[in-house]
Amino acid sequence: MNKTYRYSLLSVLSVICVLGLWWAASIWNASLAGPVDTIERFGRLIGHPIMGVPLWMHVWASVRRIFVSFVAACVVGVSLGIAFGIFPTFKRIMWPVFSVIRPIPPLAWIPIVVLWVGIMGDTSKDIIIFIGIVMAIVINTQEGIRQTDDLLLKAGKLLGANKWQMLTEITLPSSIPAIFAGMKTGLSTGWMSLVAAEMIAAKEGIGFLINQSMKNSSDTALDFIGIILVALCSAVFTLLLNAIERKVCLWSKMRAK
Amino acid sequence: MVKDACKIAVRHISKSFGDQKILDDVSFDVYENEFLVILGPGQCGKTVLLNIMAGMEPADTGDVTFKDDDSDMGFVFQKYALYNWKTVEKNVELPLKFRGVSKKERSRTAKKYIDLVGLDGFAHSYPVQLSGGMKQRVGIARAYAMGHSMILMDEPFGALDAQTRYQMEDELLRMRNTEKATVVFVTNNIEEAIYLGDRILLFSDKPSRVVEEFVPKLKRPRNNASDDFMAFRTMITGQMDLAL
Amino acid sequence: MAEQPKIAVKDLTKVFDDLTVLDHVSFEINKGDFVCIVGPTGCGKTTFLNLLVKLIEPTSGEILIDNVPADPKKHNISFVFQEPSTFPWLTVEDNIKFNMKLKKMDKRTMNERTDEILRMIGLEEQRHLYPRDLSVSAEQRVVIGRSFAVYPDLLLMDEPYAQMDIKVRYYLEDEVLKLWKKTGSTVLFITHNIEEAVYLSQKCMIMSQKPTTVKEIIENPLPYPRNVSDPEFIQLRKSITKMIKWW
Repeated sequence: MNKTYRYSLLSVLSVICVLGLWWAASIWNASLAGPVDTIERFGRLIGHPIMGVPLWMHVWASVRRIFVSFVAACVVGVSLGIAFGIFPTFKRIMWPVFSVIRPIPPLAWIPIVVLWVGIMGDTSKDIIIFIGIVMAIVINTQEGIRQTDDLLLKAGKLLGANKWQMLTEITLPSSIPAIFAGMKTGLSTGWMSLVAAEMIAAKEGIGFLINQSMKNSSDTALDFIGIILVALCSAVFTLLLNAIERKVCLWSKMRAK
Repeated sequence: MVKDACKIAVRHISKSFGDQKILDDVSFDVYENEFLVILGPGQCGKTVLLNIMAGMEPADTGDVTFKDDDSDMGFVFQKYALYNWKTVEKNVELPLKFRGVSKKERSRTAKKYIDLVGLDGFAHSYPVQLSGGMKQRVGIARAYAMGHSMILMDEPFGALDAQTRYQMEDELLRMRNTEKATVVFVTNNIEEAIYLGDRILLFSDKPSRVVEEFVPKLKRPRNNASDDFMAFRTMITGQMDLAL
Repeated sequence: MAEQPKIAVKDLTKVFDDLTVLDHVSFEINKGDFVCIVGPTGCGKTTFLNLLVKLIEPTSGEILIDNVPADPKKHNISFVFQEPSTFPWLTVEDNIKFNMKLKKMDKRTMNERTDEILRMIGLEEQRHLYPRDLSVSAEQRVVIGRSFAVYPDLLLMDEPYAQMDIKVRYYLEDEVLKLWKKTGSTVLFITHNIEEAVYLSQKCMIMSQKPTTVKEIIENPLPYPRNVSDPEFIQLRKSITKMIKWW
């Protein structure tokens, strides 16, 4: 059999192995839900939603939150990243501040954010998720701009480009792969922040579900459902982002004729 | 040879980087519509000289003056400097876009030069789909499309294999028949210099200065295996510095 | 008894998915020969090199060195690539010693050879410098010196001078001939430059476009040192050029 077929088969086998290990673990520890239990729990969840809120609404709540925060983070993050990239003075002034703030875990901001916008409603959680996503985007964007090939910039000058044209025709297009990389990284941090933020203070969402599973300590199946849902949603987002990137950067995926 | 008007006057150019002197009191003329070759060993400062002539770098001493103060020029790079996210057509018309030329006009100009370099059919291809020789043809088309009276070429065929190089040299000479421009062509290849140049300026190793001027009195098209050609080659080879 | 060829390539074929790169390539090279391989870009010479050093496996056919399947672990093979591959963290001297150290040669021979090689490539004064302090051509000389220092059975050179200017090229061509005569290595030198091929080789192997076969093997009986303006040289160069016409 040829290589691609072999590798696909091995990937499927590895997934089956993981499922097998999970099942074995659940047999070994009675209170841990196994794959079958989880499917059962899933069925029950559909029939008897927690607090009357159906499952799809939880998923939708999380997805909506992440989407709003992501878009905001892209707008702000890319703009900031460009500012850092093309205005050296701005960078010199603001970069130290940014570097200090960046490593702070998004969740650490919760008390302050709650104080500012209150715990009710989505805003507080949106802000936390936003913080989680925006950092990666700023860094990657600014790096992408910084690493623009000198030869291309030199050529641009010789071809008669003014400063604005240099930015729009050369620097930005050449930074797009880096910007997308930042978006993908930011997105994964975003999911982490989302689940954690929902666990702490929310009435709906996947994080909320996971939190529920902790309240009732024998409901590990619900926890697994939450985990699988996060993984699926996150995968869908990444696939969409990849598809958009392919469309935008179709030149980079081409092979020589 | 009839001395046409002097298109570019390079006078007493010196340039150092730190305490390393690269160019040492370089002076020469470039005549209108000639194909001038600047020949020198690798890394002797030829690129720096071109940068100074193009106004991209300041010289420490001396200056470069142009006939009628017209200092606009096209440029061809050794590493092509094409924008990978733009098609061939968009690459060629880019300098016209920068200048504000209308879409219709620049599309027409781009098509003209793309055809002229033999790349018709590839206007909508991306650089990554092209071979090295084809990429450089795009570079040349772009430089000519700018419509300036001067074109500087910085070892444009240096990255190509020997056979493609010969092909491109003939291509360039063909362009010369229809497109009038003053060309300053930099190379470290003696055979190429003699094959292409109306006039050759031989530069020394760093600190670089003009050592000698050669005018190959050979009829075109030149034959790189003919006795005259080989004699010229031997002479120039003897005089070129060995820059180890 | 006829002498055993150093390298015997038999019906070598390599297919990637549906692209046939090498198509039943066969040839022999004798010990101590200097052979140039001339071919168009993309004719599979890199694939051939990869097969030679077992980075990839052939689809069919074989490569024998000394009548045994080619194996870089068994055979003494050295390489020089187009980009200088000096180790930036080692001095010139240590770079030259590197291959010898890998082959676990004894210290005295190593030091003697290092001195000899440094003398031959003209870098005695620079022995304690690092590659970043050297010019590109000097770096490449270090790589060549390093490759010859182990007196390799087989030396593979893949367009090693493509980046050099013309005079440095002439100098390095003479240098490689000097080292070749001294060590008696078998040399496979890949180039696009026909003049270089005629200057260096005793045998010139001309490859076709993909699917690649050996188009022709030209014997070059001209005595060393050769002169590029010699009429016989020019004649040979012309005939090879005519044969090649892949452009």
